[in-house]
Amino acid sequence: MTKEELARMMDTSLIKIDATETELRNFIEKSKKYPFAAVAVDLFYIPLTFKLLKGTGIPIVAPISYPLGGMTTEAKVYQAEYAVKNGAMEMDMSINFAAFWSRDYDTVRKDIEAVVKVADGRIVKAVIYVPEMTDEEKVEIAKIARDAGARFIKTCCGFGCVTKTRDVRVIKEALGDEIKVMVAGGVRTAKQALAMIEAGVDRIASSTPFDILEGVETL
Amino acid sequence: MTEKELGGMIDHTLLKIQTSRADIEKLCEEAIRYHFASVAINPVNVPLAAKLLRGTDVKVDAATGFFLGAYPIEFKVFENKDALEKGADELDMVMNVGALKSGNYDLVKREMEAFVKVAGDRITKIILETALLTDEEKVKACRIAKEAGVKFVKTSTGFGPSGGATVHDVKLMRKTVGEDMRVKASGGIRTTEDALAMIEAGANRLGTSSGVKIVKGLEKS
Repeated sequence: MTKEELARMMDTSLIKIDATETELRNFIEKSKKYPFAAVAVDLFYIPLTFKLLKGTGIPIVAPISYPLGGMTTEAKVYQAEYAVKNGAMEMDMSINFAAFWSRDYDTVRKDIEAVVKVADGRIVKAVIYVPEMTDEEKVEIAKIARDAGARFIKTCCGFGCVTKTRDVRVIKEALGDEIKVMVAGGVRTAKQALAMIEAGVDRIASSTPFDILEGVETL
Repeated sequence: MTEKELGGMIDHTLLKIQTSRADIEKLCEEAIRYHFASVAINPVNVPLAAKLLRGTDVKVDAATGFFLGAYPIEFKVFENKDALEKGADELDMVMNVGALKSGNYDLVKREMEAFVKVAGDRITKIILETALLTDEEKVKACRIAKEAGVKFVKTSTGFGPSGGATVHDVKLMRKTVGEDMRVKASGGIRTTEDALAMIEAGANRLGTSSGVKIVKGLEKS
């Protein structure tokens, strides 16, 4: 696999509390050198990122209630509307975890549906938290997300959450092509990225994509 | 200091991803029992907590712009309004840290003014995420908050990559805002000793997930 081929499977991200405008500009400048699947930035920086990425064709990902999933459906809808209005083409939306852990799956589904509706055909990824989920729960949430119209399951929200290849296999074996899987958290090297692809992931999210891509040469 | 006095200074906090509705129920029961000032929770859990705490002295404290803070002002206004409508009594909002660090003080000021306006007479706390700021930036943020009329400056989200409240930061914040504004210490406060050190440094309110342990530890200290 070449660097470019791997880049096409990667969402790169600069999502952090203290990203400055200079940091964002440098990050986008670097990101433009590769054909990444998408670039994720804080909601505040979407208008600027849209200007900076103009003409590259690289889609912008908006974080929705990310990462904690603690926002109300109304707030998520507001964020999604803002994202659409300002040029984002994808949304990484943390699910309503409080409802999920309480087995109120109906509320979880309706919450995803509300954002999918605003997305109006744009890609929505339902962000889950695999380390705290049983295999049954991983499959359950993947089915809920699929039924609600999400295109992807994103396995983790970064910030210390780590995904194993096994987590990917559990979802892929149960649902096959019915939902795509984006892995997040724990992929730090080209070798780990290839192991995830072998396990069946469709995309890899990374805040350190350049290091990973540099490592492709040495494999 | 009595258990009740210390409890009255604590925002009993539960914001992590793993939180279920049963956890929120337990949090509210403990808050009533130990006379905590509030339960500090994600907006999605506000309606449940508001229902459970109706008729008690415990306030519902919603964490907004949480925890990245990097949201447009219009969204933050919407989210705070939504939280109030759903039953929040107090609002803890994360400042746009990146804007402050970019020197965009005008935006930070407008954001805090909008926060105060939407909150009306409710208590507002602005989270600075002090561990990511230089002392100069902490002072700047405190001054803007004071000018904007925010009621509390608060140290941390508890989710920042570089740690939570320190005695140094609380002292600096207290010195900067003076005596007519309040300071909330949060992030990494786990023992009675931690709590008392923060109060000694000038904190009026503590945000912690270890409130029960902290008040129980008072008899031993």
